[in-house]
Amino acid sequence: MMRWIPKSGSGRVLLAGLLLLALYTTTIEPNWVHVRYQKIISPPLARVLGKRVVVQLSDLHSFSMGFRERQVLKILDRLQPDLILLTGDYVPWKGDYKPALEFLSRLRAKTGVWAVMGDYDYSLSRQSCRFCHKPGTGEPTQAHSVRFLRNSVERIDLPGGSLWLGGMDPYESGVFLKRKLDQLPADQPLLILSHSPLGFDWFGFSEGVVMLSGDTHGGQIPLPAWLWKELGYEKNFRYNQGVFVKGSNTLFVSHGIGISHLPIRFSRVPEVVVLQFVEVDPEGFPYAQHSSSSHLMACHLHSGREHEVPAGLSSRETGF
Amino acid sequence: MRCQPASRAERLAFDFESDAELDHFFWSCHTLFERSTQHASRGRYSLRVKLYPSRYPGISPSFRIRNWSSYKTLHFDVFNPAPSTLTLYLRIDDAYSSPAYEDRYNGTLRLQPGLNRLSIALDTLETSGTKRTLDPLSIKRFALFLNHPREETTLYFDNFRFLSR
Repeated sequence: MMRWIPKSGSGRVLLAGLLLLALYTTTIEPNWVHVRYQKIISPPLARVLGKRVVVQLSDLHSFSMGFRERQVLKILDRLQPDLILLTGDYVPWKGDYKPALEFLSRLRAKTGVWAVMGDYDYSLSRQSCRFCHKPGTGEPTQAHSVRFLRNSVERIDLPGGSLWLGGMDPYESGVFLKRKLDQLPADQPLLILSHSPLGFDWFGFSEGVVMLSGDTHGGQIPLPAWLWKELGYEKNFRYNQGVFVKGSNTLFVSHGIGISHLPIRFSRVPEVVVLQFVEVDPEGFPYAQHSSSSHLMACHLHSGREHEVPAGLSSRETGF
Repeated sequence: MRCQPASRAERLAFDFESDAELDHFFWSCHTLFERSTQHASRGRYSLRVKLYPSRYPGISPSFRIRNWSSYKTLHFDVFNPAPSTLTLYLRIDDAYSSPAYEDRYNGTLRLQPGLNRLSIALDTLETSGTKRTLDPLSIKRFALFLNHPREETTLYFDNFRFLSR
């Protein structure tokens, strides 16, 4: 029984370190929910949303209304968001949908809550209907007030102006959403939700689109891009996390809240994202990295203030 | 309880006597499934399908039978309660990657008012453009749908079964 404990001091230190790392990655970090303040440069959206609290939540993968979910709700209660935008994967693969539906029922925002579906949400297609409908019927659900956008567009009217919010469905071609977007008046503030960041590829260079997505979990652990490519995870290889700019289009990829595949997170803390739409970034791009395509830049606009908390919200209230 | 046991040469796929069978259908927007005691052609229940105006509303069952090579035909019954003939479209893929129109089987089925007993010959399934025979060991999708219906349409399906060679 005691044979697995190394005899040497350095061996014991190594074992202790590995055990602590295992504890941290499986138990501590996956439940350590942070608030991430993310700037997005978009003059049209800044004019409409600049003073609003806009929150993005992604990839909940909720097995139960557990500690993590309660922390997220606590944070939202303090942020008092105007809009909550959800980018999919609320449930575990072919799991129980009830915890996620209960979580959705507790979301509150002054203007509203909008969402798109993720691929996991369709894993039990019959259950997926419950996101929008009463079970077994075509009537709208009364279980929550989240508005799901399935390759559809809605106009949101705010005191500062209006914006168009579009949602891309993961199992239908993006061309159907694009056709609807093409019918909108030109130069209107446009925000797109897409679970997969690969939805960004449906847009060219000059649509002035801002897209929010998730799906990647930031890999859950940091791996080099080439390894994601070798493993066949194109989305992680190309759009793992952060801000990506292509012409006048911008993509932000959140690394989400929950976990899937492996029950670990390391250096990818669960995040509630508060989006700050600005007309210009007064500090310029603090870090810009050219990808293999010269026209595509991965821009990290964190400015060292990734986990800044606003006045009135103490560090104890970041969720752990 | 099934009133008509399957014959030896027949492999029953769906008769909708159990609600659990509905989990083997792909549920999507603009289509509503429920079991009904109306117009059952086998047992007590049929599958009532409401198809709402949209692009291609329909049904896509996931047959638990993967290897179709030992079967000669697929049979199923459809009750059309409307007073007029309806065209139902059929699509069968043998690849996961949602093949183009030319590289899958595409067919049409004319539904007369009332009960329609339909059958599909499985050894003559040919793709529409590339003119190759579908691989019966690799059937990935089977879909029955309407093409841009303008009105809500209700159909009753029952008795999906494969007949052996």
